[in-house]
Amino acid sequence: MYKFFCLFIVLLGLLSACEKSVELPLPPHDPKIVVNARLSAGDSIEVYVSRSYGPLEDVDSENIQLTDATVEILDNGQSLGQLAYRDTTVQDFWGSGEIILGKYVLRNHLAQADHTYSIKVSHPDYESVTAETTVPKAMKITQAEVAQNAFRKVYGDGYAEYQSLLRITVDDPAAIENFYRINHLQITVRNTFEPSIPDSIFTMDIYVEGVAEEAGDGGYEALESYGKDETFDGTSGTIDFLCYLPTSDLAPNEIFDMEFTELIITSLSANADWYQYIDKVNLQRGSDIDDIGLFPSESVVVYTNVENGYGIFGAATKKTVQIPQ
Amino acid sequence: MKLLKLSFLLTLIIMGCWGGQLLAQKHTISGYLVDAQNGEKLISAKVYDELTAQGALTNNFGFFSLTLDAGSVQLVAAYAGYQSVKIPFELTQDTVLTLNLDYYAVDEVEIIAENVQRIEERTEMSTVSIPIEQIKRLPALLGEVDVIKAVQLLPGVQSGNEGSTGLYVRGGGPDQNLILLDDVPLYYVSHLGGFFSVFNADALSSVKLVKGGFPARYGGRLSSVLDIRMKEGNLNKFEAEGSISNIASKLSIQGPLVKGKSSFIVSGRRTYLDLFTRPLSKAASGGIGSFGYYFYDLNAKVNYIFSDKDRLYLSGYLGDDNLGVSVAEANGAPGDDNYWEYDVKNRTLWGNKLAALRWNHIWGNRLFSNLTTTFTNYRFHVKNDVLDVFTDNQQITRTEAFLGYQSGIKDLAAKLDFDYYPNPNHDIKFGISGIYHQFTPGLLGFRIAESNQSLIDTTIAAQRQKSVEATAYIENNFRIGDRFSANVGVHGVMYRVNKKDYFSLQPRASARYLLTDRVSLKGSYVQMTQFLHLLTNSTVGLPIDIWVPATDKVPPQQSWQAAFGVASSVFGDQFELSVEGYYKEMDGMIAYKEGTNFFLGVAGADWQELVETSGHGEAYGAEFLLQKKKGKTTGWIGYTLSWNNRQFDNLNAGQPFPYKFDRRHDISVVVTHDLSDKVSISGTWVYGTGNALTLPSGGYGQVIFPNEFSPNGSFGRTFAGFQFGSGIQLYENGRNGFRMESYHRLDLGINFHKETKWGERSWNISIYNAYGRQNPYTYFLGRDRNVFTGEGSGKPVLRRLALFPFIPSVSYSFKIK
Repeated sequence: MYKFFCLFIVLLGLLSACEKSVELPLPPHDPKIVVNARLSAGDSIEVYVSRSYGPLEDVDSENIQLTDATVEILDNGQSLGQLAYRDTTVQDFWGSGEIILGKYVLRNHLAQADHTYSIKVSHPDYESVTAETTVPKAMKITQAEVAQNAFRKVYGDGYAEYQSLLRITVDDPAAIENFYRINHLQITVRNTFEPSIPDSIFTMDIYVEGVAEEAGDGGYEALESYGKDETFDGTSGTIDFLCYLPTSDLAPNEIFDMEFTELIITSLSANADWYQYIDKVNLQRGSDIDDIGLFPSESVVVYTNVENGYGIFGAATKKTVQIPQ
Repeated sequence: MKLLKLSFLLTLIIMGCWGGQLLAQKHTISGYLVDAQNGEKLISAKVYDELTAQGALTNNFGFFSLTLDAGSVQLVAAYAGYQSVKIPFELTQDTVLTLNLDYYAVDEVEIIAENVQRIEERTEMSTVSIPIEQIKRLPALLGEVDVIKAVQLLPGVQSGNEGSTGLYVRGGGPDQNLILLDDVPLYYVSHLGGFFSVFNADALSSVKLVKGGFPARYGGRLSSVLDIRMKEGNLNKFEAEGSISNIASKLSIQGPLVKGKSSFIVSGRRTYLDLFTRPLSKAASGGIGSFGYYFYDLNAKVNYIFSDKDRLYLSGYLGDDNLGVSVAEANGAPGDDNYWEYDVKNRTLWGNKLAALRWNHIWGNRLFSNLTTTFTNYRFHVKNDVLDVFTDNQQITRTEAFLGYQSGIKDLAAKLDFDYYPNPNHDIKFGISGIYHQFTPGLLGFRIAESNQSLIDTTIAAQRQKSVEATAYIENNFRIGDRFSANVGVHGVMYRVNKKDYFSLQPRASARYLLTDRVSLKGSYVQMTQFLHLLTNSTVGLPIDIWVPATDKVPPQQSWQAAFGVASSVFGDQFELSVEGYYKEMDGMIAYKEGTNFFLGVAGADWQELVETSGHGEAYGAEFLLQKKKGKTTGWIGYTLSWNNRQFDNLNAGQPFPYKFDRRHDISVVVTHDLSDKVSISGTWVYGTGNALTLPSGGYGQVIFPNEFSPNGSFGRTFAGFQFGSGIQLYENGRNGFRMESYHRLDLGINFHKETKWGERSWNISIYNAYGRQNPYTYFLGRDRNVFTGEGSGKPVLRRLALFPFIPSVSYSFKIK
């Protein structure tokens, strides 16, 4: 029995040595030009140019930025000239350090709605790339209202809060795909107290989670940040956005001293290029939890409209409106 | 069109039933073919009249029926591994016989040479049987003989990942195999994360794999049928057999309940890893925690022979995997000022329960019926109990929490099958069945109570799904002349779920034509429909894979397959050779949407929203099998050349991509050799093209624009910035565009047998992966840095994870007679 036990321990040790990591070469990556740009009506035209890198390449911002590229832009087929490289440093994504941006800017020119811009980026070391996009009109909001604390949502851990809906009515341009989101919502509120106390007026910053879709429990969930015009193309349509007010812990009948006087809405109207790109980027980032590869998420291929290269040359127009209540 | 197909098929099925019926005086010989030693039924044995060369095969219960002209008959019964018997007699009336096959002569029975049905004579194609005794002699991982691992060595069958028991047959997924244990479908057949199957070889009598040319009696899966039969138990005397291996022990007991009339078999297996890991892990954690894992299987079967016409079988299986982790610690005693205590217990359990009750009845001499009622329950449970106690200012706070998750599937089924033998040229099978499925795709429960006051008590459930499947089939296995035989049938299904009805009519046909006495051409065409899907998000056969039904939103899977081949007995009947080509198309396949991860969103979510539907699959290739079943040296060489692709509109930009187990070349060599009566050796060598895998081919930086964030988890910021390093991942090679290194492995085994006064015993020594090949399990991108020491360049590297190097094992088995 003793011998059997010893044998078992030895075999157990052998098993524990089964897991081993080894290094292997991968086929070399052929770097391509990467264009990153989001044009917006009324804003200057800025384009970020870099290169792609291989899976085993140890990269930093300096060795992938392209500071000596030639970037030419055309507006409805007419050349607007070359973009100038601007050496700029900003904080990195995590805010923990500074990085160099390979940013190219077109001086003295603002992008315009309904204009189709095309770009050509050349560099002596890489194949030239081209891309084209049309700048959408800003979101034309004709009406907006907030349904305060419309549904009491109870979560799996027992926590409950009230969900509110921001209902936007928008005039949609015909024959073009538009994607609408709310970047920022502010509500101006008049607080009414006892007659003897003067009303107070203040502004609340509201977190808008995304497009409200009906969940199975009668409440709402926000799976998309952009609302689509597919059901009301070229006409007037409404989109509900899910938001949470500071009063989300109160039942509607408990809120009696608040009156909304104005909504200040910052909206973004994106074209299909930008929407497809950002949708896939968010999907890829949101699923990136497993570094070991044992339980991988399904891979996500990010959309690009850059010919011969990568990245995005898209457009989304921002606008802020005030809607009295 | 379907009606036309159906009428054509029915005509074919019924056609020829008149052929041979015009003769004057006929009588039927019927009965059972059994092992003389233990009374076990012999399946697919050949019974024929040597004078007229007319014959029949025994069915799955060992029953045969042969209708011949009155007069002299020389009845021969033959079965592989047994001495054939010949019984000459005058056939003057319907005759019922029980034929016992053995190695010894019995009075009027003359021993003759073995004359079993040869491969070229069989109408069926794409079908392989592996004798259990041969499986037991193969080298085994950790000494545990495994039926599924033996089946993986056959051409046309891919094994999935290293060590797993997944079956990927002719381009199909692991959900597309109908795995039957005594006619009862099993859903999850793996133990220990897929390294062992649930089948205890000691309790089994036969294993048959059908990869194509499916007879109409089978249905419900697209790619294969693995028909496994349990032993019935020795009708004549008690026997016990068992074994002890590195990780498990087995014991089987069988014998008569009423001699000659009723028998039983009980077989159990249990691993004992937990007996060692619990004390070791407890010691390693300073007495705080412990870890244990075990699995067990219990098979039992009872049968009773009421008369020559009636037999009853009751069989069952129970098996679970049990994983338990506990951590507990306390400081001081209750009432002390700084007293605290916590106790965390996790228990994960998954397994199958099944039961089957079968009644055989013979109606006259030509009609055999089998009524089967079955119950199946597969379940996966996770339970977490947490107790937290602390004292503050002599106030004791006691918090108890519970988190549980469960998924599973339950089936209740009944079926009635008939075998009708109108004459020697026809074997007609028909039947009906009904299945009630209940699926629990995911149920999450959560409770918290503080000082006995409930704070949270909630359950989140993906909707439980119920569905009903009703089936009818008819098939005719017939011969026309001496050279042509065919099996033609149709399988019809009505399926109802969520008030949505699906109907499916599936024509099946296979045929063989004897070119010469030893060479035949074979062909088949089948259509199949499957009303089940398996949600699986990784290449690992995890128990968290969830079975779900076809619904009104997710349509069923469908396929058609055509195969063509040549079969021949060669080298003086010592070898069987088959070469087959096949083409298969599959529709209605599902796959998780881009970005989906089980751990992020499946539990409690509506799975229907997480999958891409209407996927298309295409598989084609050629298979070569040279098998030697006789003599001191037995085994086979198998080779598969195959292509296997998938296409989904919303995956891989709509372009076809290789299936993860698309292997261009797959080779297996299996040899067992008897050096003497006491010593035998065995070896297997496998080679496979590397699996397909999705890996990033590079990346590029992403610019984050002000306020561009998403509810799905992306980040918002108030200034433009550039992100690199962990930027956007590129998949230039597409989905599954990377190839792992090829897989190859040599396993060796040696068996020492000895007859003893109480029975027999044998020692088996096996070496898994004899030359220590580091076969890839998976790859991932990481950094060149030791996580413990911090040493390394820190540069990105591709890492390969390999399992199972050279592993020796020893097992001891015995049989008490």
